[in-house]
Amino acid sequence: MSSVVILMVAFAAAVLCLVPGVAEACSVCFSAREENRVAFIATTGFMTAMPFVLVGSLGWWLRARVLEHEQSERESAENDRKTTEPR
Amino acid sequence: MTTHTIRARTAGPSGVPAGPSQPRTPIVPNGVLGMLIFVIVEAMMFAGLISAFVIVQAAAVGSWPPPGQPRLPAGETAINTVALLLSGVALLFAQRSFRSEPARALRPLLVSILLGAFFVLFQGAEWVALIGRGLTLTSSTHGSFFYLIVGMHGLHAVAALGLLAFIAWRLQQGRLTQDLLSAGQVFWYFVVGLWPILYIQVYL
Repeated sequence: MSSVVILMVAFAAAVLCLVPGVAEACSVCFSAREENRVAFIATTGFMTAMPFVLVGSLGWWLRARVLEHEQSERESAENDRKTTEPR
Repeated sequence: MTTHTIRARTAGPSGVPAGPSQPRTPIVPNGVLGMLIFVIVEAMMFAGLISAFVIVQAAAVGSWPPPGQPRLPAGETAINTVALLLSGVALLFAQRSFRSEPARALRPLLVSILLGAFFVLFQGAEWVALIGRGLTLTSSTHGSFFYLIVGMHGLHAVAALGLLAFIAWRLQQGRLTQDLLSAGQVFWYFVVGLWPILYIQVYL
């Protein structure tokens, strides 16, 4: 086993020793009630997902409009080409 | 952003972009895109309010609403909710009529405005009754959140009704554009679509 691997394992072990048992964000965010903890977790997830969902939906919709527009432009160009083509 | 040119992709087999004479076609009208961005911002604000309300409700010791505070009139407000939803349906009919025959869009648009006005006035009457029963902005966190969340929605409803009234006026003048109607629709559908979520969270 190389010395680099030994050093990495030792570092990982040291980091693991420093991991706290309970990490509290702040003193006022803690409540012993289960409902409160669930509410915190649920609303954190909700608020984290909201911007991605909203902006993502708008981006997806805009992209769909662009693709739709491109398709109609292609069809229009094809029709123009057919009508102006010499027989 | 709303103006999209697809010159490079559709310029033909040579790949040479079309000249400047090619008209630029808007993918989404500026008014609609602006309204969508506004709605996204407002949706985040309401998401924050709802989150705060959920946490305070979960942290409440004992019953909810707090002792001594009146229960919200969920039954009466359900009728009001139906009126608001019908208002959204009426606006959908107005949009369809405007596409086929603009003059026929005025009636469903007015129905939509009247149902929206009924919703706002009903909310006002409900507030008067609740204040009389002791639920005020400072009486409890329940009262604070109720007036804040429902009040914010009411403000949006009033603003959207103002926009719909302006749209009706433009329609009567024969100067209404599809873009303006679409922008008004986005705003009103936000007001209509948000309310059932608030109703379930706050009233039930």
